[in-house]
Amino acid sequence: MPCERARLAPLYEAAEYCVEGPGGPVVLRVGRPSAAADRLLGRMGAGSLSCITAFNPASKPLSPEENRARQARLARKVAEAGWRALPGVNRDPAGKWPEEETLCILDITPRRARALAREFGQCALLRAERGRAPLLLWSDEA
Amino acid sequence: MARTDIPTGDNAPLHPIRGTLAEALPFWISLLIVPLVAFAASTGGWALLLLPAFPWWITSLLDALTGPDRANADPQTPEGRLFWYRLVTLVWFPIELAVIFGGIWFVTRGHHLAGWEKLGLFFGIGIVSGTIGITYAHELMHQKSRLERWLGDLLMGLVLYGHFRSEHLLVHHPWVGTPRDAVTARYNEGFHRFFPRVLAECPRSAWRAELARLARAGLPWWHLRNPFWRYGALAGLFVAFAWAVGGWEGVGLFVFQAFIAVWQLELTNYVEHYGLTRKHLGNGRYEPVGPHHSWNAAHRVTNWLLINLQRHSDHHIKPRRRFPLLQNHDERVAPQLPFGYPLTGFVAMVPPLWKRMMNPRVKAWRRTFYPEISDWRPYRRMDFPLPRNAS
Repeated sequence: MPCERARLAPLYEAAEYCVEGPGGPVVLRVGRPSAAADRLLGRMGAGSLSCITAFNPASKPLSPEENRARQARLARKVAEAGWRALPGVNRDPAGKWPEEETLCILDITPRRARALAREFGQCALLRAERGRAPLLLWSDEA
Repeated sequence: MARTDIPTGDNAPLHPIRGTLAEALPFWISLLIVPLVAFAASTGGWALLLLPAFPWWITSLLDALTGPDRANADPQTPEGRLFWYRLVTLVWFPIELAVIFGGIWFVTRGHHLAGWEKLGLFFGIGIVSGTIGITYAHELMHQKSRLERWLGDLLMGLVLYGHFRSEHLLVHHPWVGTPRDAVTARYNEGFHRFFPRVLAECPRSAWRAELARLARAGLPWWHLRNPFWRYGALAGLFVAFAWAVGGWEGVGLFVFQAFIAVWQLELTNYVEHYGLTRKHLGNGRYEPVGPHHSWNAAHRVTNWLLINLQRHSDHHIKPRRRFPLLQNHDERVAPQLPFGYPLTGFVAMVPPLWKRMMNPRVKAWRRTFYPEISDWRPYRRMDFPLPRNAS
């Protein structure tokens, strides 16, 4: 899975990661702590969330049908594993890249999150832990 | 030791588990019921009251005397230190087997008990298999080991309710608080309506979920991996055993205790999630289950008897977490009951009393956790689409 980190990192860091919480959407941005995200995690009794999409593996665009099918497969996998997850959307604030559906999985380890991202061909995922700024995890790191 | 796990609303330090028998001993309180059964069976009369009194009233009285227990064990405790805790769940199947079939053997051969006393005794034994046996089966069925899962199935076989495992793991846990979960009691639904509804819906629902699982693996319904074969075989085996030990009277007593046990189970199910619903996010998507989707009780002695089942929020967040490590979530993040489950279940048998006690609590829960929702009617009727991915 070729990931051009130098090219992708600024794009991923600029993106908005919108989590659909029960109290309304919460927008996460890399490196910016969020009291709303902390409240959301507190309400869900969770310590962390890891947002993973199955859309557009390696940031190569696929058709909407392919993306939806891949995302449904990810959702099935998450449900079968018994993980709790909130739906969300990744957005390019410049509007140049189409929105991507995502699943923000509660309380999975970074290792498992990376493995899942790799399985779905993703270069990176967003991870937010309670009381800390969200960060990017690159899936090819151990 | 600092908190490193999920937030429980409580910043108290975690206490370590050393792994000694002495610290696990309170959870062995269930064994006290065995001499009570023997005493009730040999004495009859008033002594029969001891069997329901022990789990329902005596433990509730002790709860009032001992105060709540909100201490949390370190959830990272190694499995090896939980041996004495786990052991009580591992040894329970032969004990319950002996209690039920020993009871059948004893009363069908002796002539000292009148017909109503025999029924009274097996009512009490049903309370034991329901309160303790099914609670332990529930703990066992959530574990990975084959031995524990088998013991869970055997215990559920003793109450002729094997499909509970499928329903609980494949439907209740993923879909609690949504229209897919039959055992989430709807707001204002009395237990007398709830009970027949779940008795009818759960076997069908469990069957459907298992069939979907088999289909995903490319297997037909009649494949041996369908656990309904096992459920049926165990039920048949135990009924045959009851007949061999006590003839048709033995079968009648066995089925009667099973019914009482199932009533106890469904009463607990009713209490655990009454009126609590997950927010519908649109298009069949629901928020994940959170600590506020279960009713909890920090009552010390009933938590010993029910091996921390009343720490129910944490159980739903971490279903495989072993009972000694379940965390107490306080009232800021998880709704609390005024009594332990046994006494609360007792109130549930009187619907007007139940609604007077619980409906204001559900309304307060709605205001606290979902101030943005003004129309609760669709939630009350569960008038939303089934969750996506639900089988």
